[in-house]
Amino acid sequence: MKKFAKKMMSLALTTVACFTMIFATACGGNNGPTGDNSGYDLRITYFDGGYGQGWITEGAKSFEALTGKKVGLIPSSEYDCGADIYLQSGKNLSDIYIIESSMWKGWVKSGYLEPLDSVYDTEVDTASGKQKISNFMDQQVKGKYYLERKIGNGMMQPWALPLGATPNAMAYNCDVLEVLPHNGVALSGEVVSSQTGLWVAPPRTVSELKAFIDDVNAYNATIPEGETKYVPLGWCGKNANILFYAIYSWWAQAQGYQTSNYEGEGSFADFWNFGNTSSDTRSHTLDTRVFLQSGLQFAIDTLIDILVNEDTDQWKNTLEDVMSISSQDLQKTFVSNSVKVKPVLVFAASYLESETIKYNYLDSDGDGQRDVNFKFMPVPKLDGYEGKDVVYCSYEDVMVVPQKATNKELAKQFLAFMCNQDKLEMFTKETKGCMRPFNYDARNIQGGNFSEYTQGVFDLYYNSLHAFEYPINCTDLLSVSNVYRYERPTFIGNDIDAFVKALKTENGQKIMTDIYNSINSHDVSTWVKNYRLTVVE
Amino acid sequence: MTNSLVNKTGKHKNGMTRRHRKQMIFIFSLMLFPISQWLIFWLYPNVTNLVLPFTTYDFFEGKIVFAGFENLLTEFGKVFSTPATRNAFFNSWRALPINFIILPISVIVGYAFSKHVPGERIFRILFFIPSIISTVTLVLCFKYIFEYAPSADLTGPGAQLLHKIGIDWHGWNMEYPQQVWTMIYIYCIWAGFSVNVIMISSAMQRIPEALIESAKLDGTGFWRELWSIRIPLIMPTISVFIINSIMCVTSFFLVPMTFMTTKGPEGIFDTFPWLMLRHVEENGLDPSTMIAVSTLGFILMICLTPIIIVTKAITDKITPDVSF
Repeated sequence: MKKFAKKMMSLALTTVACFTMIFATACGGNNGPTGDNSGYDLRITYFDGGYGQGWITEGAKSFEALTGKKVGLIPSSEYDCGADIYLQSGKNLSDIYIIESSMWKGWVKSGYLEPLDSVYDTEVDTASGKQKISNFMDQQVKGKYYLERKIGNGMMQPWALPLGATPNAMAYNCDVLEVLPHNGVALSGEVVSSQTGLWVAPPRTVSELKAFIDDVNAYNATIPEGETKYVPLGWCGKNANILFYAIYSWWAQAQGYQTSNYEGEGSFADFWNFGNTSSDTRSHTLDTRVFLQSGLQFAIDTLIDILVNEDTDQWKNTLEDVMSISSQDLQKTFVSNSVKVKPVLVFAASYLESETIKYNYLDSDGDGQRDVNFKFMPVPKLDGYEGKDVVYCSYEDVMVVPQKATNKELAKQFLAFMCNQDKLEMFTKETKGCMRPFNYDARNIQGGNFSEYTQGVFDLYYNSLHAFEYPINCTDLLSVSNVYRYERPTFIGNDIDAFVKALKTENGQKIMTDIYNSINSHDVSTWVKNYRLTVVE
Repeated sequence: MTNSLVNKTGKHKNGMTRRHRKQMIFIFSLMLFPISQWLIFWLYPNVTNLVLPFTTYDFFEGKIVFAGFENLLTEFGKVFSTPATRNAFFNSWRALPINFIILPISVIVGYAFSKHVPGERIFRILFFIPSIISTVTLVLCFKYIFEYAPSADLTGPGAQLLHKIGIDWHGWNMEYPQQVWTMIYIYCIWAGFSVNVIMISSAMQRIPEALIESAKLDGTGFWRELWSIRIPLIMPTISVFIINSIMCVTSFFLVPMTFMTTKGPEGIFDTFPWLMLRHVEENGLDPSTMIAVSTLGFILMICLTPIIIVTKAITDKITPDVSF
């Protein structure tokens, strides 16, 4: 009996061991988080974020109809689609990754990506006939996606194709604006009605913004306790780079967008070249004095003037618990009546409306009507600035093809296919107003049925200068600083929270000097060593 | 095998019998897998981790080259000269007081459990629940309880309670780091000591009942029994706990990261392991990142090794040489 039990035990253990082996083997052959997509000719893993799934599903369907190839779509909740580990192993790779991350630069250095020269050279159908993608793209943005595979080899190639163009500025509450009386010195009839004395349009300049803020504060004081109160300006401490929307705009206006207003300091665009004057990528120069640009200091001081009570070093004109709220909370306070204190103006991106629809914030009482009517607006211009509005835009969503993808040529064909003008327009329609950085006009899309908010986004995007992190005035790709290309430092170094903390207690000059000193003592030596730079004093 | 290699007795020319040879092949096959695993998953990464801090990545040539102590000196210098790195370094050590607060509580609660108090089993289950729930889920629940952002209509019951009793709690607001850290401590202690209680009470239950009864006959009281009998007899368990607590410094990041999601101004919520993780998140696993991460890990290792050695020596010394 004992012997029998022993045998049975051995048998059971062997069975368990065998099954474990089988399952382990099965796991090895699986695609892990990317899922099993055998049977597809083209596999695309995409970050399932704000753009939704409609555009990629529609694009894949059209591509299948055109080529007869089967396309597998794999949504991912990670910004980088978790691609890093697959790219390293070179196994179970998708043919295309659509990411919202700048990690692709590291992938280029590591040799994980396929260059996209052939895609950029492909001709696509546009409203003005056939054009090469490289010509059809927004020419200011194009250079962002070029890198040398091996630094210093002098061969710039495109490695990523941009997906979205996101303008970031402000939004205003139309309902409050209609009933907001103006007090104090008279303003232009374009913003304040001379008959009713009420605001009829959002502030266009910083001085109008300050008047608007005073008016909202005065209006708020008249609202009885227990009713919804208002604060002039909403932002969020947990995603404080939302303040960049104003800073970039004012900085570019004050410093000069492409041509410097200050002798020897360089323009806003020059900042992103970090003082490089050489096209020999093995001996670039570096001048950290760009971190001391006067226009940037003016922008920071303007922001401090609006947001900080310099007597008490406390935030003013905004939500009391501003440092405890996230961008999602901010959206809620702006569009939903479920909160007790609401901002009248907020820093907002083009996707504000689509995100608030997604989170179900627009109609908190369920009466079928929006709680708040709101529109997109530019960041008010600096007083005395006469040029076009400057809008901070981001172009960080990209599509890349792994070097070891199974079907690279089909992947490239798909990328090019999605750049045909009808597909760009389909993207804009499916995403309810998101644009791609190509030379098409989203305002002319037939049957788009875009909301007033989105039309405001389009109007601003097509009628403004776009401020973003790239030396747009640098025509020679090899002259773009390696510090920009491979490090992408921001104007505040890498500590947004320290910057926000400093806004409360310091002035623009002190903040910038601290950043400048920090960059010089901690980052410059690494950059100089890594990229063999000559520091210009 | 050709006959010429084997003699009449079945012995191989090299003196090995066929049976012996088969045994050797069997043992070799058996050992091949674990040894390969050890070589690939233990030796290789550990040796790499020890070597990488002494190298640098040449961006132009695309290869790793020897750099001596340059990385270590630079990064170690930053611990003293850069507030962000300094905060990250010293915040990692916050794991120590947390664990050393947990230790006496665990011992007392574990002792109570070992006394077979009424409802002990239910208490055990209740205590164990936080340990079987995912840390992230638990942190998020706890975070919600103390959420305080009235503008966004977000005020958790815990935050309401704190305000009712007069504590000016500002929620998970990075402008009040001391408040946030205190709450993180409370969370860690609440969620962290259940496993230790189970471990310690189990160790205490292994102590022979005769020994305890004999002490009681000699008039030993409740606390005397704990202090003079139970604790010395479970010292091996406690010393393992102490060493593990010190080692926690190398892995303390999940809780502050989940609570705050941002490292805060000048890294007030940052820790070294989190800093290492961010390096990888931001840059991917390219060679320069691996070098940077290994260097940070090496610095922690340098600081921890003497502490662990001394602690081990002390705990060995105070642990009585008994077995039961």
